[in-house]
Amino acid sequence: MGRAFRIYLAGESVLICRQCGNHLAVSEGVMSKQFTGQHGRALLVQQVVNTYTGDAEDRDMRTGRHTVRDVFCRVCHTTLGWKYDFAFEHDQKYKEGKFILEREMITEKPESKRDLGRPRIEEVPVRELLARV
Amino acid sequence: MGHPLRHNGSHPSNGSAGEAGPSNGHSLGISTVTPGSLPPHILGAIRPVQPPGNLMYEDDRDWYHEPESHEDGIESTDDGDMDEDDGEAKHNKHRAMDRPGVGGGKRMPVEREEAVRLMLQGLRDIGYHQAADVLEAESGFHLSTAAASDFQAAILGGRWSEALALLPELGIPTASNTVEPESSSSSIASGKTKATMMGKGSGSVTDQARFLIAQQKYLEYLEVGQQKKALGVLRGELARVAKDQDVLHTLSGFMMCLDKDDLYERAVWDGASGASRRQLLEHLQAFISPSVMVPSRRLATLFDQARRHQQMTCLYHEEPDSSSLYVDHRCESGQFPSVTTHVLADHTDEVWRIEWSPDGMQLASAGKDKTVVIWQLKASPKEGGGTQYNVESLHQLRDHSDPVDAMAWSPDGKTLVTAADKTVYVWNTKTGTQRPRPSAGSQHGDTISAIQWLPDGSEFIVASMDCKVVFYSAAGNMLRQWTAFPLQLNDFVITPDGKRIVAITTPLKRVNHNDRLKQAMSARPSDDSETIGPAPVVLGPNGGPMQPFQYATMEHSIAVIRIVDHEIIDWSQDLRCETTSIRMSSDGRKVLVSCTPDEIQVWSIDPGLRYLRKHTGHVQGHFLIRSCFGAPKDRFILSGSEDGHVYVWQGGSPNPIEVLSGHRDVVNSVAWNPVAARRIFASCSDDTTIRIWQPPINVEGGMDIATSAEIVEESEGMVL
Repeated sequence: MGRAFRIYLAGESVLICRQCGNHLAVSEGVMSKQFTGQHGRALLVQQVVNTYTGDAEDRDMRTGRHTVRDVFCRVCHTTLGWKYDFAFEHDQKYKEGKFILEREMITEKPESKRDLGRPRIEEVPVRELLARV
Repeated sequence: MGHPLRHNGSHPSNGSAGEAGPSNGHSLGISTVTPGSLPPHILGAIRPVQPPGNLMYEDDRDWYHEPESHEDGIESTDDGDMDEDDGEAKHNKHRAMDRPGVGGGKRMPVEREEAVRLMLQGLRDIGYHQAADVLEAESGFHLSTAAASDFQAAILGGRWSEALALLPELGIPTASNTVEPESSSSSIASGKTKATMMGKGSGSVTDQARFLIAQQKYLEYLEVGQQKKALGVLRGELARVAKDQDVLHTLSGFMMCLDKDDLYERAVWDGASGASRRQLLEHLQAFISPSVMVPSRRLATLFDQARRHQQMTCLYHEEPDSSSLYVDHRCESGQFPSVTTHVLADHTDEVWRIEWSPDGMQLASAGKDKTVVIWQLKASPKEGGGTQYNVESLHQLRDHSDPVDAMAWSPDGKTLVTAADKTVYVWNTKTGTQRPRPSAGSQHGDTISAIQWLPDGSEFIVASMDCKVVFYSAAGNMLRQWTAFPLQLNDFVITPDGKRIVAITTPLKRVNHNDRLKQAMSARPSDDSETIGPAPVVLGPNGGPMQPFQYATMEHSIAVIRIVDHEIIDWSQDLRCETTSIRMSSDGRKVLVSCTPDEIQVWSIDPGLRYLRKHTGHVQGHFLIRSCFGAPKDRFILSGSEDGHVYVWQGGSPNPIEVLSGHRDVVNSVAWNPVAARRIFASCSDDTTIRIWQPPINVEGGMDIATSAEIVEESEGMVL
């Protein structure tokens, strides 16, 4: 397979895995925040990266029957949510191919101050580092 | 008809070569007063011959494409004449006659006069003045006109007024008839800058020539301590022809020199007995038509150019040794390590990275099986001379928590630093044991991308994907830490002086697209289920069309970072491709950058970052593929490839010269042994093996094929 890099994202804010910090999606890709998952609030997002999916299964949900797959973090293998493969109800078709990320499993990393000039490298004071250890 | 003359010319000249010798040292290439000259009555007996035509061969065109319909019958008489003419020139021109013109085309005809005069120069430079006299008499062509010869002699002899008087006869008018506007002033302080001044065309040709001569005269007066006469030259001659007050000012400053050596140093001038008069002559040449005076050492220059060209185009060129002009230079491909001599199969999973120890006697390999293997190279003398290398597994470094992709040997070869995910490991390479890690807890919040040692071995530097750069002491203690956010260092190298980092970087930020900030990503195209790219327009929850969601690609560039003050001192434009690895050339002046898709770029880093060229032909789309320079002199470039081959390029050619097969899956990395003369390189692959490549045995050592086959068999047996 060779060595593939993980994907790094940049957006208004980046949704990362709460467990390992793996980049998953950007906030621009969030379609709805009104979803509910197994652990409470969840997001419907258009695309996720650095994940893999499990086997397809049919689940009966509040909005009807769907064929879904669980979505796992590729780095720490946590279950993050699921992916909609197929919606049985016609008015739920828009979810097909989209992903649910559970709020509980992710955090949001806001974009740092934007500096369009040349990036600067700063040295971290060693004392601060040692205090952290 | 030339027969008797040839006898006359060639044989006696051998005897008098020694006689002509002493004059060589002084004025090689332009001596016109020829001690070895033939007596007038012999020269008088030589019949001038003026065959028609130039140095060319009518049948040349047969050698490369369909001969054009040409009246061969008529030209053939010419041909016969040409051959005789060439007989004289065989000594110098033999090579050129052996083969079709460079590039397979027809040789360009050389004008008879040019050919003869260049030969004359060659003969005189080499000391065969008698032969040259005969050639001059027979051909009627002269190396230089009488005036030019006198002029050369006058300059070299320091007879300035004579030289000045001869200028008109060399096509340089006496009076300056065109006075150009004053050129922008430049501080011309040395002989070195004379040429620059001439190039600028300040003043008329006459003035420039006169200025150069007067300048030499002035400096020579100063050299022998005749300040008064020098002042006279400065006021009387230099002031008149110099177009630039600054120059005069600088020149007058030399008056203050303490002694000769001071003058030599400040004027960058080596005195009357040095090369300065010859240099003056070369500078003056710019004003004199070559038909009047052939530029000095012209034939030798042409030979040198031919030699260089051949070396440049030699596919397998390795040694800059003096090649013979008799035949075209060509290094044998047999010397290239194109044969697998060992297949190392200790790894149980994909091998991602290989690194030679600095002395080239050990090889470290790392990969997905969380193990680093150190291999020992064993030299054994071969029958029939040469050295054959065998490879044995020395240590297996096992305690890694994750797959290993970054590692670096200390400059003394005693320590190997490896990294698995976020953790750094320091190993004693002699015992194969892990050194205790004093820094508790990892400084790295994300996967480590690259490790490099400072060339003095005092520290090593680790970069991770969370935009951190951490400096560790040789023992593994954290010393300093940089945060480069949002700049991610994907890979980096350190210049040999230890002062700069050259890194391939990705700024983790949104990109501007159509005046809108757009979400961006940095990634290799992946072959799993992730869908990346334009999404189809779909209906939103409210029934309206939704914006298609798409990531833009982040920028990727090369950054040069000064280590002492962590300042980014140089910065390339967006490379418009994903970068995967960077390597430094052995002279520290170039870097090799592997890019997705399917490209390798060569950049020079001194004096500034500059794109030089690219090489293509291999496959790199999904994975981190590494490339390397191949010694000696980094003439080769090698790369792994996703099609399972090793690709080799040479020099400036964009297309590969070799595609080496053997691996059965993606070749992730290649590494050339740092001891260039060994001609060994290694490659590693997803097929879990490492291959060691050496030159074909039977070619290099003169072994018969049976023996070499045995050795390959043996080596394969050893590891499997």
